[in-house]
Amino acid sequence: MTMNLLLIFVAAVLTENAAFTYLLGMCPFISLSKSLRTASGMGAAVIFVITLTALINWPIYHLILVPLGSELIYYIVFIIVIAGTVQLVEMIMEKFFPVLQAAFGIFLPLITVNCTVLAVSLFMVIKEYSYLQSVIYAFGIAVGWIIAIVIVAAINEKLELVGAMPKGMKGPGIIMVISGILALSFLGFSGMV
Amino acid sequence: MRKTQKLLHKVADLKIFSPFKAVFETIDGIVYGTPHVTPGAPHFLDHIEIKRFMIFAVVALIPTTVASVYFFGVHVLWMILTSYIVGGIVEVSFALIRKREIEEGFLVTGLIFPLILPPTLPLWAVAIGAFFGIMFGKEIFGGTGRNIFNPALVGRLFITMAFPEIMSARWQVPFVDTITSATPLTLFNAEGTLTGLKELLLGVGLQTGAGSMGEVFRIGIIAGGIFLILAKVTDWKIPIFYLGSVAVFSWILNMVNPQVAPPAFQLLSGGLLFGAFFMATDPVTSPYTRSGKVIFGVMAGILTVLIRSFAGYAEGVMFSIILMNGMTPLIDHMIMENKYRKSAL
Amino acid sequence: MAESKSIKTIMDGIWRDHPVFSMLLGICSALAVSNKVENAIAMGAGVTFVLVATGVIISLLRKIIPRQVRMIVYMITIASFVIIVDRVLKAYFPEISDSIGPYVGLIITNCIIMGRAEGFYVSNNLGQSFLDALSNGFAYTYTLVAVAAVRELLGFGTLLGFQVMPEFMPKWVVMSMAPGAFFVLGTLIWITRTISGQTED
Repeated sequence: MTMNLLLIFVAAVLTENAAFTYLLGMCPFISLSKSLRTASGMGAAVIFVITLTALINWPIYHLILVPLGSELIYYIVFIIVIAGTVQLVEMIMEKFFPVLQAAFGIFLPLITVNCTVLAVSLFMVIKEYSYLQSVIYAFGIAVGWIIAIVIVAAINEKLELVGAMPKGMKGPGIIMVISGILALSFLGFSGMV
Repeated sequence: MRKTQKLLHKVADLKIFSPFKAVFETIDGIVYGTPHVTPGAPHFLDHIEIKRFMIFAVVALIPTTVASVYFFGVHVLWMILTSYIVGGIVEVSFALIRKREIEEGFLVTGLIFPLILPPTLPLWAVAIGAFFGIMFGKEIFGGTGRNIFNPALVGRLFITMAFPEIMSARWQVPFVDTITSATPLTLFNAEGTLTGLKELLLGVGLQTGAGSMGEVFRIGIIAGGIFLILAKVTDWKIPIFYLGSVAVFSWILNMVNPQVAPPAFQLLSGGLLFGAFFMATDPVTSPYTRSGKVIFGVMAGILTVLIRSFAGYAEGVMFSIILMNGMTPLIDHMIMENKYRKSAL
Repeated sequence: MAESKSIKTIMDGIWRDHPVFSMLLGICSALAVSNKVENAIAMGAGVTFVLVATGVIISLLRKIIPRQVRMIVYMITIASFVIIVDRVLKAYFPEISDSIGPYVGLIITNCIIMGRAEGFYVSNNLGQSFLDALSNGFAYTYTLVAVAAVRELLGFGTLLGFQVMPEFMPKWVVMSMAPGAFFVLGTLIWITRTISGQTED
């Protein structure tokens, strides 16, 4: 049982890495991977929100939507839950944890359109994971995403210092190539789980 | 300052030689290295250091290059030529379009790249790999000294993924013309057979395919690697900690689970020695902080053993070095931040 | 005057403010479903449909929607149309639906739609919004098809399932996997930005 959960986690981080294998969350990936500070801020917020929404969406889907026979509308339900959660977390943080709010508060509104969040909820339904499995999976996907964005952000900061790239390559182009090479090397883990 | 270097300076200071000042400076830089240390963070921009590294690396690669021609025949020479021509074309066209000087960086990359390929690889695959490696591994980042990943490995990684059938079934037994899909590593993964250490060290008497063409004559690799370390061209920390971590980690895993190969075999098989001495040590793509180098080596070792033992690929050196290349800026950043914090307290 | 504004809207959509190359929106799906041209066309058509439908609804309702809840309204509108796309694909193109599966659902979070809704449809009338939606959808589709064409040619040797490259040409397996998507899109961004002269900061 624990072994199974561990495998799900490792797979979610390495072999099914959100950014490098499933190509998820690329919009914030490109706009925020220019500095390590913003990348890690967004990453922390993403871990928090992804795990939380998986915690909420699983029971809603399996305990409410399926018994009612209305799985059809789960897209709408999931996205509303995500948007609502983000809003709620923002309010709670503002009120009770101003330090956290200062650290990654500005990234919260952006998370709603980070497709990793919605994708995790959709994937856990498709993969027919149990409640515990889903939560571990969600956490792993988020960890994999933050690892990816932090590595790319650090590389970007170094390239910023050197700054000798072809002009059209600067910014999104080079991020694509870096991610491509890292994605190639992440393929080395395939077959591990 | 050494005596010979003083002599060189004396000769260089003579009036007759004043027009050739640049030449003497280059010789000085190549042979003795530069006394100047860049004050800021990006030490990797030090041009003379890079030039010195390049020439010494080529010298250190001679034994294994000669051995691979001896083992596998003339095709090896064609592969090296292809790699140089394609790499050179990319290098020159970028230099022309961007109006920059042609950099000597591809001297080493152009030689290392064919050395990490299977010895019977078709030339078109060599060409694609060389093109991709130099283009996306180096030029796009701004050229020699500014790349993040090792360009030769980027090229190798790309064709490994693009043409898996060709790349995994093109091995050759030394001196024999048969093409096989087995190497000591794949043989161990499939049947648990351990190839003898003496055969591995010399590359002679192997019954299976030997591996990439430059990694077979391991005595030569070790000699070249030690030469580079003694000449102070590469730092000893990365190869020693890389190999050490492979040994320790595989020793522990082997005790728990005998399906993981024992340390001596791990060290002497596959591209580990070649990677540890010639690729992981590249000063441009590895950390410049001292503790960063240690972390780089140890993590690369752990990743190598993990991929070799548990992933779908028999060899993990290429993946681990590229992954650690990618982590290098992060490692350096964290170590510098840690230092600043301590000194601020 | 009205006509030139329409032309400006169209040109902005399909080239000047190109959603993928210039504004970098909707990258996820541009990468994920561009391994084959047919998937790219299906995805492009789906996104265009949702864009147009959302554009029409939002621009019609723009005066009634309270500002505070507008995000939720966009999302419900978008999600509803995505469900329609998903059902249509499942019913009529089951093969394509299988291969791009969950990414259809992710149209909801495709930033192009949210971005256009917030940036254009709430403040423009029906006609302009309709044109904007069409041109953005078209730009998105042709980009996806361009990326997919390169990847399918090299990765499978085919175009829309027809053998194009000679049989002996080895297939570049990596092109049908994630890294191939990164390299092709990266190169396309490089080319278009070099042509248009747009650079970062």
